[in-house]
Amino acid sequence: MSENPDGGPGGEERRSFLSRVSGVAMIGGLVSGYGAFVHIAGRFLYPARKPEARWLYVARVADVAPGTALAFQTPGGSRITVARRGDDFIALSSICPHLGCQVRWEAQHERFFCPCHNGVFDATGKGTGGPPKDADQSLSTFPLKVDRGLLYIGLTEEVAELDDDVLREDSRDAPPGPGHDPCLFERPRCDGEWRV
Amino acid sequence: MGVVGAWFRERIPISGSQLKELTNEPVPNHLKRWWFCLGGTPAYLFVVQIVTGILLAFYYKPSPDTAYESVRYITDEAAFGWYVRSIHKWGATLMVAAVILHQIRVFFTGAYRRPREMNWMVGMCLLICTLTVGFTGYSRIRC
Ligand code: HEM
Ligand code: FES
Repeated sequence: MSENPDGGPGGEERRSFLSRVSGVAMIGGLVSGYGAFVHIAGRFLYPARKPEARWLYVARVADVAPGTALAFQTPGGSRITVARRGDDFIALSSICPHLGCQVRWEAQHERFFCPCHNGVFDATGKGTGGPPKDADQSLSTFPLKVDRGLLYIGLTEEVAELDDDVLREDSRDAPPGPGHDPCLFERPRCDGEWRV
Repeated sequence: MGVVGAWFRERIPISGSQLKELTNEPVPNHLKRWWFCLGGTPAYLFVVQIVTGILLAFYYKPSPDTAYESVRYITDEAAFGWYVRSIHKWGATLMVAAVILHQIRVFFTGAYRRPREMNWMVGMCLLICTLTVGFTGYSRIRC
């Protein structure tokens, strides 16, 4: 080692410096690489937590007269019909349980109607015509709670997923702005008198 | 070397120079070619397959009517499931490729000749094992 095969003064020193640096870089790379994998494996194995229901503000109870309904839009854009009957509230999804089309409230017939296969639901969401009736399906409901005169809706995991789909669909093939929900253009028809 | 070093040296009596002698064994120059790494490649990938396979087994449900759904769950919902599954899939493919390349290297360097005939026979068994395991794994789910 004394004849300094690298030639020039300091070759030995430079070599040991370089081998030290490359050694540290190599060990650092291995540790971070395998460390990342161990982290990923841990995340993979850790049981997925169900997101807790998020309570979102809907309206002041005093503003919803008995026998009327309002259309609540989730942050992701899904519509939920919130109706009041006496002192009770009910929140109905607007997703048809048959194949997932948007149902709409038809005030003149006092029913929800699904245009895809002529599905019909009564004011409580029970299927009364078309495929939903045959399969004994109803519009799904959501938990509601009243706290100090304010009405809140509990959005479950299901809605979060729905919202994901709505958002994805919108960003895929529709321009931003009002979607293909007819009620956004024909409010009066959809917000008609609600009688339960 | 501090107290900690002395503590370890007392229990693991290997000196630095001995360790160097063990690990710095010179590799003959004719072996310093990339194709001599082709045997270690499937060996490494095998370990990768074991580790990722154990991870996937936590979620995989093998019966015919649950298999597809459980794999869909792994891919779409479990955190980093797509990643673990991808490593496992690529590892399987690359392992078969590496074994074949390794066999090609052994053949063209004539490394199967005396006294390595047994290596070739063991190698053939390993080839069959690799292909069999690859096939059974592939048949679990196709997509
Ligand atoms: C799971 C599959 C296999 C693994 C993990 C594996 C691993 C290895 C390793 C690490 C070496 C050291 C030299 C080198 O890497 O090139 C080696 C050498 C050898 N392998 Fe494989 N091998 C496998 C399959 C095969 C197959 C399919 C054959 C041929 C039928 C084979 C025949 C040989 C022979 C003859 C040698 C000695 C080569 C020499 O001495 O230069 N192996 N194997
Ligand atoms: S999707 Fe509503 S009736 Fe078929």
